[in-house]
Amino acid sequence: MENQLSADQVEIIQEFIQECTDLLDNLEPSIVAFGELTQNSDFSPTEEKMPILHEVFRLFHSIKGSAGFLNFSHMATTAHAAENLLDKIRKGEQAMNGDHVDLLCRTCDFMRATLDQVACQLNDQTMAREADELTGRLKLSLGEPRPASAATETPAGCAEPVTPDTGLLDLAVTPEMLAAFVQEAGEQLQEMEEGLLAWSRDGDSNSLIGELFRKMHSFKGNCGFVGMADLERLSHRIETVLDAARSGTCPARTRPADTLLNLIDTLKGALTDIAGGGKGRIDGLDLYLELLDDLLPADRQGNVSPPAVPRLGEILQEEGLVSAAEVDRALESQKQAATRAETQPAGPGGIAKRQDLRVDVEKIDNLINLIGELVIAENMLVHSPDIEELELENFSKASQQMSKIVKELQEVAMSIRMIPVAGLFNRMTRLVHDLSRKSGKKVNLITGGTETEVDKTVIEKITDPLVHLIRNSMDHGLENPEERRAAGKEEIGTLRLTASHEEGEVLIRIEDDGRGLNRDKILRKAVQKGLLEGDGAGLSDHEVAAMIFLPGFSTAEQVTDVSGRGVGMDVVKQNLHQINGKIDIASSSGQGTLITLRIPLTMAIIDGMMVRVGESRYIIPILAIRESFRPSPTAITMTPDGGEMVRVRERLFPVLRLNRLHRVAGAREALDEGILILLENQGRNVSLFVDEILGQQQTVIKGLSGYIGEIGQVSCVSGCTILGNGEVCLILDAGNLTEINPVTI
Amino acid sequence: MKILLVEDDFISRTVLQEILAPFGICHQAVDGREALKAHRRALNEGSPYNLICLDIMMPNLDGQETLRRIRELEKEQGIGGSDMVKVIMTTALDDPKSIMTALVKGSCEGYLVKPIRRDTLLAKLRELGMIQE
Repeated sequence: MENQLSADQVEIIQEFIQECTDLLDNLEPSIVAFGELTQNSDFSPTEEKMPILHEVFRLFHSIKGSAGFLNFSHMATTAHAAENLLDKIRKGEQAMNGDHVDLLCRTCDFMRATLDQVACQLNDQTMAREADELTGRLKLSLGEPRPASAATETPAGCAEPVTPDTGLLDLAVTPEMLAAFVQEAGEQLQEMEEGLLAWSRDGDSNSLIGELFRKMHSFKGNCGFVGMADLERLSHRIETVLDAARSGTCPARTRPADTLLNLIDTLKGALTDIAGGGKGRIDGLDLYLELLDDLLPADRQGNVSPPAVPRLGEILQEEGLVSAAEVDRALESQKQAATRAETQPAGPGGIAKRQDLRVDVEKIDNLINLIGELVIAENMLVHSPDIEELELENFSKASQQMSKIVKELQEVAMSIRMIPVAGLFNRMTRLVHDLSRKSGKKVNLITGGTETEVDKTVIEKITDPLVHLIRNSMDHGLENPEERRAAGKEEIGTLRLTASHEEGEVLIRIEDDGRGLNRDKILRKAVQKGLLEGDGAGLSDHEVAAMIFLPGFSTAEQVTDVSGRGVGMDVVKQNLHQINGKIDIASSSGQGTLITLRIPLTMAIIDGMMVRVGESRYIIPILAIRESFRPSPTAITMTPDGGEMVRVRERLFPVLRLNRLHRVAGAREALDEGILILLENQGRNVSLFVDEILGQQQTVIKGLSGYIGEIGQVSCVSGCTILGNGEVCLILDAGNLTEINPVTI
Repeated sequence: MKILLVEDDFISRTVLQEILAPFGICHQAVDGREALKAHRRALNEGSPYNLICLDIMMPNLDGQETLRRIRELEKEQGIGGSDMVKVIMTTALDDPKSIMTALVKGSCEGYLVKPIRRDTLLAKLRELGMIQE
């Protein structure tokens, strides 16, 4: 059939895909919303909920009609079945229960998967099996006269969304999510490969293995999120091996790096399969798992081995044949997709609704870069030493006008990169829904401020942290219904996700009304893991809370596939750090936890304070500064190990001399002749000693080249900027500054 | 069955009327505006149309926009699901793109390419379960 399609028809199909994707995007949250209504009891349509039901009905109706028109029969029949179900519910002939919602969600997923398939192959033939299954189940749920009993009978598959082999899980992902997953996972694997190579070359290094472990953890999480069971199992085992290696309990004779490198290749292969529309199955999975067991100390093998290994092997071998054929076809369709990618505006852009233009991000980055240069050039021109002494009335008028335009230009260019967080939040709606079904905890997710616009890079960077934080809230924060009842709370937990703007920052709040952080438990764990000296009795609640962000920290008694290894929070911190974001955590026991992410609006320009040390100038991000002052000699105290502390309103802060850190010559040495700047980051403080403060200025951030970047990591520099006179000036990294120990420099 | 025929061309309109007359009451409108008025009136009277045959290319208000507003009106009045009026788009051109739009955006039930033929129209109605035979 493909051969007979004209360019015109292909275009129509693409339009169809686009339209349907838009419809699905809009309606998925509504469907999920029904899920909340059906949490306690069956839902019968009421006046105010009717319009939503109608909307959902119309979606399936439209899909049925247009899919039928384009001869996508599987899609049409499935949509028809869903439509019938909805109509019955609408007419009150059947009450809606959680399984119906689940079924509708799956139907949406199926639609997306099919659209994806259609995008590659221009037909939906390959979806026959899924379509039959789904249609069957939709019809089955129709046949039940009163669905009260259906809850126990119908869900042939819905009650077991965690079982890997139903084939249904393959559907629980939207094409965009899958595309994003493939891209991200590919990058993660690449980084891990490099890390493993370094490990194999340079021998054991704890930071290296820790890094690998973190990456594998993220990778595993992603795999689980998109329902790639085989990938998840394999990466979970690899993670366990890395964990053993990190704690040094690996049998000495083994060199895990080489084995793991081979497995990375296997993961990559599976990923390629997924990219081409395959299911990401791994042939001979149990063989690999056994291989990994050899790398583990004997006592850890038992508790990680899956119960049903022997029989799975046969099944997998059978499926191995299928999978080989699938890979071939996948490669084929990948080629097709690649050639089409140039002409097809994929994704939920909504061309028809808005006048959107798809532009390569690189072009915009380039534009912003150039504008940054323009700001600098303008500065150099206006403050040129050649005209400094002259009275030039016309020139200064013209230059003022130019400054104004440049500033506006800069603002417009920045706004190009801004996108609302609504899309990100919608993804979380789905995550919460799935997690809630998985864990049996009832949650009501409330999102707010979805129209808040944030830089696109920022969105990309906070997606992972947000997933981790929400998982944590669901896993550790919120209690199960029984516990909540016992604590006298509403059975259904509340999770609030809001975004807002505040003085050049974007605040994202994740708030739950769960059990809150347990101070004693955290302290006990911290001592046990050697992350804390003493008993921590003198620490403020705030400082205790910040401990959960330390690598390797987890208070969960049990490691589940949702969370508990103590890497997630570390990822959150690392990612936020990359975008100069901050994280605040406030919690009251039994009342809930509020996590606030503070992210600078843009990563390209910051408000900076310029300071001088000797002949060098530095920029300090203003957001990190708490206060600056000239200390009196009596406020300085020496510690036994040679460190200096300064007393500010009965609190002592360590003094860090910037001239010693960066070995700047000619700087002041006496503390009472210079200025101390008190910095704060994630509850940690340090007072930085500099010669003088030169003033505040808008700073265009320039990245450091890769090779300098590595040095920069050590010396607490996050980037540089170019001053009006052409001089390069380093931007200090408050996060790093607060973490180093001044005595050791 | 209550039917509304929306068609600016006299001959086409008459042909439709001849074919459909045996199955119910046929009202006629010559453009989208008239059609909307009729639709609104029928809704308010509590006896909405069961079927609307809607031409795509018409003066004043074209078929696509008319369809969109028909659905909007229904939405306002809380009519949805299978209670929505069945709409068959008629089009002179075999223009898949505009059919696509009507199907996706307007959730119409079907389309027919002009010239309208008795057997295709009746087949469509049977398919929609509007007539038996």
